[in-house]
Formats: sequence, structure tokens, C-alpha cells
Amino acid sequence: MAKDAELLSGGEMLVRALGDAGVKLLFGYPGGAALHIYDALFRQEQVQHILVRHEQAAAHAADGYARATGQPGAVLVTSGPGATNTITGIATAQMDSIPMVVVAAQVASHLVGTDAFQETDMLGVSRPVVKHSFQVRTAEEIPTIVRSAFHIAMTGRPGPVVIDVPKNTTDPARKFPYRYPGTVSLRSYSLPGIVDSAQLERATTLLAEARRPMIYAGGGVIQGDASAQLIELVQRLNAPVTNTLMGLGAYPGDEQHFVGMLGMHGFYEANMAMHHCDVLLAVGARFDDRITNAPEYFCPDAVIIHIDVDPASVGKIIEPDVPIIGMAAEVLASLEQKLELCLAAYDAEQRTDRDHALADWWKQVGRWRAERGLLHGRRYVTQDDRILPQQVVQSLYEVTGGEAYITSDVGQHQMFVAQYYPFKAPRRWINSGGLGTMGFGLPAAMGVQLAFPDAVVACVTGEGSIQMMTQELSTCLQYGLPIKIININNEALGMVRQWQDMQYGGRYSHSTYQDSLPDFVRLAEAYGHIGLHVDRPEDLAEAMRRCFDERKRLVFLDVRVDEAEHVYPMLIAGGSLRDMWLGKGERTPPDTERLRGG
Amino acid sequence: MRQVISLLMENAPGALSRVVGLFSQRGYNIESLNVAPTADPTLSHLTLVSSGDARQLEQICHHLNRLLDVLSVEVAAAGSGDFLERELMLVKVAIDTGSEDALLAALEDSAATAGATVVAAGKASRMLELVATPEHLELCLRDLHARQLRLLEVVRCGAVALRLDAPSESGGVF
Repeated sequence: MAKDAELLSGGEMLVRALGDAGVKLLFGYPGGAALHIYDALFRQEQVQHILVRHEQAAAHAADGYARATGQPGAVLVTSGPGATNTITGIATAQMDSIPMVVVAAQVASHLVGTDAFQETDMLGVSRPVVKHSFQVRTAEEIPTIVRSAFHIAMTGRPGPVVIDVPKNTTDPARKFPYRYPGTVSLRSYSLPGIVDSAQLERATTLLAEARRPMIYAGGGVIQGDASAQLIELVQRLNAPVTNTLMGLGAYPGDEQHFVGMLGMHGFYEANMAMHHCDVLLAVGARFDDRITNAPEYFCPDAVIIHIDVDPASVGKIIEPDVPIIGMAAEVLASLEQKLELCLAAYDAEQRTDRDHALADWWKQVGRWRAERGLLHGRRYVTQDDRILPQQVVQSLYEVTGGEAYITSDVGQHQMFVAQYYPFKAPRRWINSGGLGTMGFGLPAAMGVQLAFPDAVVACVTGEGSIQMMTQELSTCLQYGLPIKIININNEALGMVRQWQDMQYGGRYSHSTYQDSLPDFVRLAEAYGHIGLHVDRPEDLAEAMRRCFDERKRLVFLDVRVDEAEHVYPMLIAGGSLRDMWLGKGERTPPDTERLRGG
Repeated sequence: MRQVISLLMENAPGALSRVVGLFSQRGYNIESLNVAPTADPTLSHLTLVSSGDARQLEQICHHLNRLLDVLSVEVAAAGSGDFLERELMLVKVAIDTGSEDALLAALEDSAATAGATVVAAGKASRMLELVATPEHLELCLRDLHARQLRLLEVVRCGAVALRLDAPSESGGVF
């Protein structure tokens, strides 16, 4: 006879089920509707709770944890404002396909819909930004709902799932037998089936016959743990490879096939190679508007193969010639095998022909690199008296050996990291690419540091973004997180200012603070951390070293940089990928053929 | 172009709002919407009629397929012959001197009024029930107006549609 199931309250079942779903860290903040659950948390040791200072930070921290580990993040908040404060964090995760489960307490069922204290229709508010959501109706369904929520968050195209838990379903006085289900049954949830072999064959032939092949790999390669397969395919094909902002690290940034990031602030050589390729293989990428520039001019000569786990992403912006729905790792591995067979069957003449075509293509890529390449030479001119933001990132790279986990906020500093910190491995670069959420960096770094207590974790931020989350400095002290905050401080909302320089005649509408910035050194000290300030180029390297020599404590390094610096290259709106600003007032030659209507 | 979406989904709270949310988020207008349980009470069949950009609709269908509550989605242009469409309409007609005869004449012309029948009678009104394709119901309304009948209220359920099997040799769509 089977052992009798343990009797648990709804609150206890919820916590136990989170533990059984593999949750080790739960980021949250208590409140009235969540108190039964918090009491259950107090009486167990399976799940460790991390108390943040704002619920948005709980969601970002869980998100950072998920991006760094590949495991789903978990959040627990109370009803009303606790729940709504997580929305930005949930939307951030949804845009970048990050697995996360957010448990939001709710007022008791009999009060739902009465405008009760701290009542918000969380299912309604979160609906457009979740992969799925559940409302608990009875305590007995809690284990099944938790099991299903994690399954949905992790499989297919990952994403955030919300569980709305009315207080009465967590009542400590009412106990039920607890069983964590071994399997999930969701008849209406379909995952990608068998990969279409005809499309695989077409893709193989196209890639083998390509004269100017190009690989464009996005965040899906990282989320789908397909880096190894990508590397093998690139080597087999001997094609240039570019990563999106979300995909950085999917291909080693210091390997010769890598031509850097593409898109809005992509490398010259990456954007040029994209524009001129004849066969484009896109994998785990979604042709977003920061990548394509004007879709009608995107990769004019290319036959496009698009691999994605999500059918809704295929053909959304650019209609591919060969759509392949499937998991990135599986599809890339099959392509590599088929390509090997296909190339092995080539006769000497075919082989020579292919080798020549590729040699010519690489020669062209080499010319772009030499002309304007970012990767193989600094594209900025240093000054004697001002530190440039790019120098800060290069100094960070040198001190950390390119091995750190780097989180960022949003703006110029984010782009400078993407350009000047070549990531060697996936899951090291953690930033909000899709939603572009300022305030993401510090809480995300908390999630990473808690996942890997011994790792070097740096949050590269700006004085704008960090001020959206400074309260989390207190969380960092409570849990002893030795994060290094590199504040690239230009005393302005840099990217806004750049656009105002380029498009609004230098009218800096509300992008500066008029001497109201805090003393960041004393701010860090007020929270019990170490604060450092540097503003001379000759002191930068030493300050960076001091920062990272502190292994046990959080250091806030405030670096005053030149506020006039812009991020280049920058795509010229309405054009193709070859239309770029390369410096102030300096652009790539206009595409005369296209302008003639050719 | 009118498009008909025929969709099978979980008969569960929240499912409908997820489906409808995808349309409203994109500013895509819904002309009519009908939802009811199927023979299996845990499932609902939804028929949605919409007019708009076909490419955008295709995207919406991809997103519909992505919803956890949705089991299947089928789309066809209205009148393409892929679906059999029907709609129920109730019409309350005012009855006063002379109009009773006009109403009787209309009911006799069953082709024009889609075999409408009187299903309820009030002191000064009659309620008609009509079942036909949405296009046919439009013509019926026009016909009733043309007969100088005063329509007090009109309520329509929106099209319901079911995919047709390939026609057999003996018969097709009627």
C-alpha cells in the first residue's frame, strides 16, 4: 500500500511544490495576502527566500538568475501593488523569452471583484506580458498548477508564468494530502514536433552552395543551449557569424569567424556582411526592428533560412525562403551532419570552387574589418583629460580577463559593453534587450551573484539607470553580495542625449539633472559598501583593479566620463544595414543603386 | 475581405479574454464573435468574423496557436466554401394599422426572408426568428425595410462556422 500523503495547508503545499519544482532561490516581498505563504516559508529549509526592497527588483533578480543558470526564476509577492510592481519585470522576461514563475498572492476569493484592500486583477493586468497564467481556485490544485507553470515556463519558447493565489486557498487551518505530480497533462499545449526534413535538405543545399554565407544567431541559441552546435556548424561551413545583442556569447567573441554584434549599433563588418551575403541562416533570432533597419532593404541578395522554436516568430517581419520550426540545438546539429555528408560528396572541382568563393568572401570581410572594424582595433580616439566610456569597458575587460558575468542597464553603456567586451561563453552577458528596461542591471546582478556566489559579477550601468534601483544596495548588504557596480557617469541620459544631438538640434530636453546627482561614493558608503570615484584617464586602470581586488564586498565605482561621446556605428533610419553613421557627421556612402531604384 | 476564424479552446475562465486580447492589442476589429461549449463540455468552439489585413490576421493566428488554451485554429475567407456558416437573428417588428399585412406578405416570400417565422407576439409587435448565412440576413433586413416595416430591435448572434468535409459525389454545399 502506498504511503499516505502528508497533510499540508495550501500555503505549505505552495512552498513545498516550489521546492519540488527545483526552486532554490525565491525572490520576494511579503504583504497581507501573502502572509500564510510567508509563514509556511519560515517553517522550512528547502527554499531560500531573498528579500528585495522593491518587487520589480524581485522579478529582475529572478530573471538574472534564470539567464545565468538556465533554470527558471521564481518570485513571490503580495496582492495589489506587490503584484503590479512586478509587471515591468515580467514584461522584460517575456520580451527576452526568459523562464520565470511569479506567484502573486490575491485577496480572498469572496473579496475578489469588490475593490478590496490591495486588490488588483493581476491576471488581467499581466495578460499581455505573460506566456500563461493560472488562478488557484482550491488548495488541492496548487501542486498541479505549480508543476504546470514551471513546465510551461521552461519548454518551447520559454517565458514568464503568473500564478494568482487567493489568500483563502493558503489557509493554514485547512490541510490536504500533498502529492507533487510526476507528469504534466496539458492537451492544448503543443511543442514543436519533428523537424521538417525536406526543409532541412533545402537548407543544407543552400548553405553548401552559398558563395557568401552568413549566420545570424540570437538569444534563442542561448536559451536553447545550442552554442556547441552553433560553433560546430560555423566551423563546418566556414562562414562569418554575427550575434544579436541577446545572442552575445552564443558564439565565442574572440574567435576569428565572429564578426561582432549586428544591428542598430552593430559592428561595421557585421552589418556589411549581412547586407552583402547571398545565403543567410538566422537561428533563434526574430528580425526585430533594431536588427533589420527598413525591412524592404534587408539583405537584398540573400536567400533566408530561419530556424526558430516559435512559429509565431517566423515570417513576422521577414518572410524566410526556408522556415524551420524546431529546437535550435537539434536543428543545428542535423544541419551540421547533413552538411558534412553533402560536402564530403563533392568532387575536387566542386571543392575548389567552393573554397575559392569562400576565400573571396573572407577577403571581403577582412577588408571591412580593416577599413572600419571594431573588433580588431579601437575605433575611438583617447583624450588626455577625459575618460571615454569605451575605455571603461576595455579596462573592465582587461581586469576581468573577459570572464566575468556582466549585467547592464539600458543606454549607451549597454551598447559599449556589447561592442567592447567580447563574451567568450553563453549566459555571461545579461541585459534587457527586448524591453530595454532601465533599472534591470543591479537586481539582475543580485540574481547572478546568488546563483554563483564565487563568480565575478559586474553591473555596468549609468547614473540614470542605477538611480531607478539604488534601494537594492540594501539587499546586497543583507546577503553579502560582492557585486561590482561600474557606473559610467556622463551626468546625462546618454542615449537620449545622443538622439537629441543627432535629430533634435542639440536641444537636451530633460536629459540632464542640473547638478542634482548624488555623491555616489557616499551613497554606496551609506548602504555599507565601498565607493570609489575616478575621473582621470591615468587613474582608471588602478581604480578598476582596486574595485575587483575587493573579493568580499560590493564596490561602487563611479567613473566620470566624457558626456559628448556617441555610440557608433549607428544605423541610419529608413535605410538598409549598410547605411550607418560611423562617427559624428560621417556616414557610409549612400547606396546609389538603391536610390536609382535599381 | 471578411475572414472567418474557427477555433477550438478550453472551456475555462480566462480563455476567451486571452483570445480576444490578441485582437484588441493589435487594433484589429472583431465583427462578430460566438462562443459556446461543444459536445465535449470541457471544450468551447469559437467563431470569429473579422475584416482586415490578411497578413496581420495570419500573425494573429500564429499567436492564437501559441495560447495555452487554444487547441486548434482554422481560418478561411468568408464565402470561400471551406466553412458552412450560419447565423441566428431575432427581429422585433412593430405592428400597427396596415403593417400586419405587409409582415404576412414578407413571411410568405420565404426566399427573401430566409424562412423567417414568428416566434412571439406582443400587443404591438411580433418577434421573427431567422437563420441563414450572415450575408443572407443582411439581405433579409434590407427586404424588411423595403416593405416599410418598422424594426424595433434587431439582435444577431454572429456567425457560427464549421469546416466542411470534402463533398461526396451525391451532394455538396447547399
